[in-house]
Amino acid sequence: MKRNPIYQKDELLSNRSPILPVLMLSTNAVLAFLVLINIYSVSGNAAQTGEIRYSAFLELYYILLLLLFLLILLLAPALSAPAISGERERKTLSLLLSTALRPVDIILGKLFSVLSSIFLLLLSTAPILACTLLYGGIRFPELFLFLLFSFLSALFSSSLGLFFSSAQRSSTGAIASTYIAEFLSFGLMLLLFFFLPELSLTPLLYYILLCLILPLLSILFLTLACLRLSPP
Amino acid sequence: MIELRAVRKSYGSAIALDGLSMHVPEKAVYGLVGPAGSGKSSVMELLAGLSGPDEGEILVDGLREGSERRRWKRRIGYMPDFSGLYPEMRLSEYLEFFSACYDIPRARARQRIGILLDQVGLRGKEFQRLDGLSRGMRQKLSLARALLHDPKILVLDEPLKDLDPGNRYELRQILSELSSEGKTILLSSEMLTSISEICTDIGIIERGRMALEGKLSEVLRKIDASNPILILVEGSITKTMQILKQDPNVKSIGIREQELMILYEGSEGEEAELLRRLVSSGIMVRSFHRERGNLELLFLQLTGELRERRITGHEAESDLSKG
Repeated sequence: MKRNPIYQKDELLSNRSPILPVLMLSTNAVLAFLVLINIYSVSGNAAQTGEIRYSAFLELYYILLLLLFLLILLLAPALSAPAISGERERKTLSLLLSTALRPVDIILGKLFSVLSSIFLLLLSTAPILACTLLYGGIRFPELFLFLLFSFLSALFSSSLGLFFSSAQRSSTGAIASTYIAEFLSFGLMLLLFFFLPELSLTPLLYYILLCLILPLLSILFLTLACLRLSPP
Repeated sequence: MIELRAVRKSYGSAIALDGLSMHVPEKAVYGLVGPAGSGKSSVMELLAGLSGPDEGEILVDGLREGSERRRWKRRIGYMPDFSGLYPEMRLSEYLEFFSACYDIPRARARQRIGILLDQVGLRGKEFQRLDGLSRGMRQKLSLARALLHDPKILVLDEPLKDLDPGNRYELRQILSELSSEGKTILLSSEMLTSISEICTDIGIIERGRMALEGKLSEVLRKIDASNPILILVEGSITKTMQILKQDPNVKSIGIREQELMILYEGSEGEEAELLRRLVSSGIMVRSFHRERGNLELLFLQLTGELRERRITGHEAESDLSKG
């Protein structure tokens, strides 16, 4: 299968930049610190009282998942919003558009590049996340549902970023617009969650609905981004 | 090879091209010349497929703009007037990346890159980072990038801009070589003299319209007949100006110190009569001759800048009359 040249190029340049390694290091350092504090607290408590509070590991698990999810929401716009506007600022976008590449090739290449960076970051946290599974109580289907929703959220946020990136001249403007749109979108999703009984929806049904809507919205924004890049 | 028919292009309320028609023959080296803002870059961007015309038609090697855009892009090598680079990349990586953008298989791309680096004089710089390249090297790299997919047509937007004389000469040599290989080259410039040496055809564009177009030799032949007369006089030129203004064949006067440049539409006999009138009026005429074909002057005439010079000449005359 032919590899997307935009993706290959972005991976090459990303590997030469210290940003991703520093991000991975700091993310894992924070998560590792939290896990160690938690384990220290539980074992300290057990040494004093003879009681092991297994719920502490479950609490830790949810905290780590929340932190990872917030990290995705912070990272996806930061990586995707400068993708096209950065090419425009470097004056390389018109060179790319003058080649045999189609706008969709450029957009998909950028999307894969962003998602692979996020995936790499998530993968690097797997050993630390696995610590919370040591004592059980967490079912793999739950973990799978979280990973699926995280992936779809990353896809949606990246699509928003690519859309604003293709629409705006400056990276700063694109990043700001993407964060605002993302904040409003996820804020609305969170708000709706509190009104599920009024909407006659169960949490599972709501989750399924989001898993259907997020990809559709992603496709919409990616299509709009391609149209923005197409010659008038 | 390249045909633009009554092309109109606007960017918001600004009209870049206003019914432009242009013809670039196959294997020609066509110089598109015009002042800043005349529409040169807009023409280049249309041909590179970066935008489409609002009205009119564009044909490249028989392909119509719009419906056959991908095939069209493979026939054209585009070099803009800026060098878009990825500073962290190495020269060879940059060319390999753009080869991949044209679906050129890696092995063939490497072979092609080797040939191009020799051709543009960048052999030995393969592993140099792009942020360390000089302006001349960037232009050569940009040209190499435009040649990767071996296009039939090269569209070069101000390729000689901001280059020192040495690099300009080198690039002109490379373009001449490419022309002898059978490529059709369209290059734009504000610097007439530098491109007229390599061009076979010329088009002068002004305010989005073609002012003059044709084979360079034919254009020069045309202007030979309408080139100015240079008159060098001693002493005050006020009296000279009075005599010249009385002659109905004098269409415009330009003054530079003791030298007058007049556009004169008259026969050789009438020219001789004008000279006789000047001399018999007691004016010390040191030199009186018709200038050879001058593309620069033609450009100034066609783009209206000579009219501005004429106004300046009359202002100078009124200053002289006060003095």
